[in-house]
Order: sequence, then C-alpha cells, then structure tokens
Amino acid sequence: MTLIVFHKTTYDADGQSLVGPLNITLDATGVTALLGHNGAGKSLFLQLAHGMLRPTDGRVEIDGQDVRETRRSRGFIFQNNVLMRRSVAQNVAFALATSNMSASQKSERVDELLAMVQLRDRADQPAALLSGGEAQRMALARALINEPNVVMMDEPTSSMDPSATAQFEAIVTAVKSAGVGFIWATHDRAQAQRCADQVIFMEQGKICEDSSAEDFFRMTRSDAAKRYLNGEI
Amino acid sequence: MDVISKSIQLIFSGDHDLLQIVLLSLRVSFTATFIASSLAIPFGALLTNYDFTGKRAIMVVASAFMALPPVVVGLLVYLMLSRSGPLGEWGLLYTPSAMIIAQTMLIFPIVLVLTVEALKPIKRDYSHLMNALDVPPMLRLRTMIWDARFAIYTAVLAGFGRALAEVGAVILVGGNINGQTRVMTTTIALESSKGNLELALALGLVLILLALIVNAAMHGVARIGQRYQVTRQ
Repeated sequence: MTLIVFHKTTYDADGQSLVGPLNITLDATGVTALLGHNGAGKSLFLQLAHGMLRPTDGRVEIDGQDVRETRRSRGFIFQNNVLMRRSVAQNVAFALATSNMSASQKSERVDELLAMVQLRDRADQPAALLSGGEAQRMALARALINEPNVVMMDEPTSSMDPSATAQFEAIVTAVKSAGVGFIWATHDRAQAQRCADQVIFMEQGKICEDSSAEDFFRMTRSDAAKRYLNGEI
Repeated sequence: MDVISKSIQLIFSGDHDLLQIVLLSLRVSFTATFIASSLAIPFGALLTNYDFTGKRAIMVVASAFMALPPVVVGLLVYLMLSRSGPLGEWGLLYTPSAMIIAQTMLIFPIVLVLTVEALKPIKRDYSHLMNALDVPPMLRLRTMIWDARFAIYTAVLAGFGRALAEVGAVILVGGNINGQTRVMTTTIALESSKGNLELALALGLVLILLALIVNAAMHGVARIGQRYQVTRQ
C-alpha cells in the first residue's frame, strides 16, 4: 500500500487560490482516475502529489516522507510528451542519469522496458520520429524505469486514436498487476470506468468526491460530479 | 586570366609564404574560436537556465556587440595592449596573441547569442521533465548543451567564419608584420594595394574555399540536427 497524504495543502498563483486546501489520504494502489472539467485543478493535484510542484502552504507526504525529497523515485507522464532530442533508448535511459547502476545494467533495464512497451525495434531511432501513441509509450517506459511505486499521468491518451489508447491501457493494466499504482487524470469517463479502481473528482481546486470507481459511477453523491457525468459541465 | 592562372599555380606550388600566411590565419582563428566558445557556451547555458537581475541587459549588449565594427574592437584591444595601456606590460601588441584576443572579443558575443537561441527551445521543452526527475543543476546544463549541440556547432562555425574573414581588428593589433602577424585578409589588403595581385588572389581563393567548407559544415550539422528536432506537438 502506498499512501499519499495531503496536509492542508494549497497552491496559489498571482494571489489566486488554484488548489486546496486539500486534506486527503490517498491509497495510490491500483489505478486512481482523477476526473473534473478543464481548470478543476487536476494537473496541479498531480504535480503536487508527485512533488515536482512546491505547495504554497501545507505539505504532501508519501509513505511518511516529503514528496519533494523523493520525487526522483516516482514517474510522471505529461499530456504534451517531452521528447528529448535523442534516440528512443537514450530518452528512456535519461531517467537513470543519476542512478548508480553500471552502463550495462542501465542498458539491460532500458531494453527490458522498451520491450514491455513494444518499442524495442525503435530503440535507436530519434524519438522525434515516433507517433503520438508510441511517444506516450516511450514516456511510460521512462516513468517506470526507476521502479516507482506510483506513476502520475496527465491525460496521456488525449491525443491518441482508439487503437493506440487500447494498447496504452493494456500496458498500464499489466504494470498495475505487477504492483505499480497510477494516478491518472482523464477526461474520458469510459476510460475511467474501464481502468480505474478509485475515482477522485475535483471541482474548483477542491476534491468533491473520493470513492471506489464502482460507487462513483453507480451512486454519485456530489452535485458537481452528477452534473459532470451528465455532461452539464 | 593570366593573374588567375598564376594565382592557382601559386596555390598548388606549395609556396612557403602563402602556406605560412594560411597556417597563421587558421591558428589564430581556431584558437580564438576555441577560447570564445569555451567561455560563451557555458555562459549561454547559465543565461538560458537562470533568471537574475541584469540578464536582459547582458543579452541586449551581447546582441549589439554581434554587429560591432571589428576596427572598434581592434582599437579597444590596441589601447589595452599598447605600452601605456593597462596590459602594456605583457608586451603582446603586434603578436598573434593580440590578434587572438581581438578575435575572441569579436566572436564571443556571436557564439553567446546563438548559443542562447539554440538553448531556449530545449529549456522550454525540457524544464518539466527535468523538474519531475529532479535533475541536478550541472546535469541539466550538460544535458541542454548536449541536446542542442548541432545548433551550437553551427554557432561555433559562424564564429570561426567571422574570425577567418576579419581584417580591421587584426591589422590594428597585429600590425601585419611579414612572417609574424600577416594573415590572409591583411595580406590581401596589402598585396592588392601594392599591385601583387597573384598572391592576393591566391589567398582570396583559399579564403573562399575555407568559407565554402565552413558553410558546408554548418549545413551538414544543421541537417543532422533536424533528425532529432521535435516538430510534432
């Protein structure tokens, strides 16, 4: 079990409160879908949970440690994937740049991850030549290479076609069964129903609902979430 | 036509004076380019990566200095190195070292500004990933420079081309002394005024050939770099 705890966490910008105050203990085991309309604060929530964003106030801990100090051990997949101007293998290997592994161990690990995301045959090609779906699979390999307990994903499939999305979901499901947790921001409700074990629903920077996926889709409690599911917001 | 054929003969005859002038030109320009690039590339990476007071002013001055008339730079170096100048004790005036100093001052802003321009898109594309992976500052700079290397090679070649073609500064601080500080451009100026068109034209042809080689190298490097350039969003 991986517990992420938000203690009175807020994030402000230009004097405006964008997220929080959040007080939530999240079991990041399995897949947690993060739902909410544009501007609800999903991306900021992910970045705060990962540790790449410093809260304005309060703190976020993972298994008792400040997330900022341990963020190297978690994965993050951005909506607009970051393709370094290198080969696919070098893009994945970059996440091991600060690791103490030997060169041969790193190479083996990269090879293993590329095989898992079905990109081994593209290893030596420039990452810029990958399709959108392939690029996000490469990002998944990069996010997983440090053996994280949890990976944050910010709408990773938003620009993928249905077949690429299905391929991505299948890989995530396989990785999940190996014990890695995912917090997955998505606008695709059907995707959340297919993949999620838990759902967090956000509205105006606050968490309106935090429940199992089954409960969320069967008996939504908050008005905001009901309106969201009905397509009203 | 007679002058052209004689000048071509001179090039292929292995004339000692011509060879000495070409080699001195290359030595001065290579050294100046090496020193200017060694300073400008890391400084450019720091300027791109960090915000501080005066950064904009540095960029404005550097951009203005790109178009600085070489003769003005020559005059400044002359005043510094002349017997009554602050560095007069070094006894460098009318030596290849003085020419290297002048060319370094001319090239530095070119390599600096072009390096910053090369690094800007890398900084924009990579900053989230670097932050997510908690990449240490030195590794960030090294990574940015490495991934922008093709554009930076072009900046260095542009600086080298400028150095090789420069005449105003080196004639002031070098003095155009036969066998000591006479380079291709200053010899062309001198010999053509004396009516020795064969040597002037032979050096002119060598200079054109070198300019073509530098430009071909710039295009080649840029073409390789484009393979890794991310064009898709």
